[in-house]
Amino acid sequence: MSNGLALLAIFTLAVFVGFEVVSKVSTTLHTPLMSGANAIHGIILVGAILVAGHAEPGLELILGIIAVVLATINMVGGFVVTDRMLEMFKGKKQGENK
Amino acid sequence: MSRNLYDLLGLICAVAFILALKGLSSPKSARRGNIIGAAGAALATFVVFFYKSDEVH
Repeated sequence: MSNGLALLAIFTLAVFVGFEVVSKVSTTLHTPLMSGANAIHGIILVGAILVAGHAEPGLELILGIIAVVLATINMVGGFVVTDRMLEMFKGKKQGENK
Repeated sequence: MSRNLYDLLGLICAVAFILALKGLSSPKSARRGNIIGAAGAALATFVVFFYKSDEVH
C-alpha cells in the first residue's frame, strides 16, 4: 500500500471511529465531553514545542516560549477541569448537573 | 529513536485519546478514561523533547 493511500485509509477509519465514539456519549456527560475534547486538542503543545525548538533567538523565541506556556496551561487545565466535572458524576448524580 | 518508534508512540497516544472519549459513554468509566487520555498526552509531551529532525526526516 503506498504511503498516500495508507494515510487516506487511516483518515477514513478515524472518521468512523470518531463518529461512533462521540455518538455513544450519554446526554448527562455532554459538558465533560466538551471539556475533555478541548483538553485533547491541547496536543498542539507538541507542535509549539517543535517550533520553539527551532526558533531564532529574539522575538521568534519569545513568542515561541509564550506559545508553549499557553498551550501547557490549556492542556493541563483542560484535563484537570474535566476531572473535576467528572468527580460530580460518580455513579448517581450527586452534584450540580451543569 | 527511529521513525518506527515515533510512529508507534504516536499510535499509543491516539489510542489513549480514543479511550478517553470512549470512557464518556457512562459516568463509571468516564473518570478512568480521562486519566488514560491525560497519560497519553503526557507521553506525547515527554517524547517530543527527544525528537531530532535530522534523525527522523
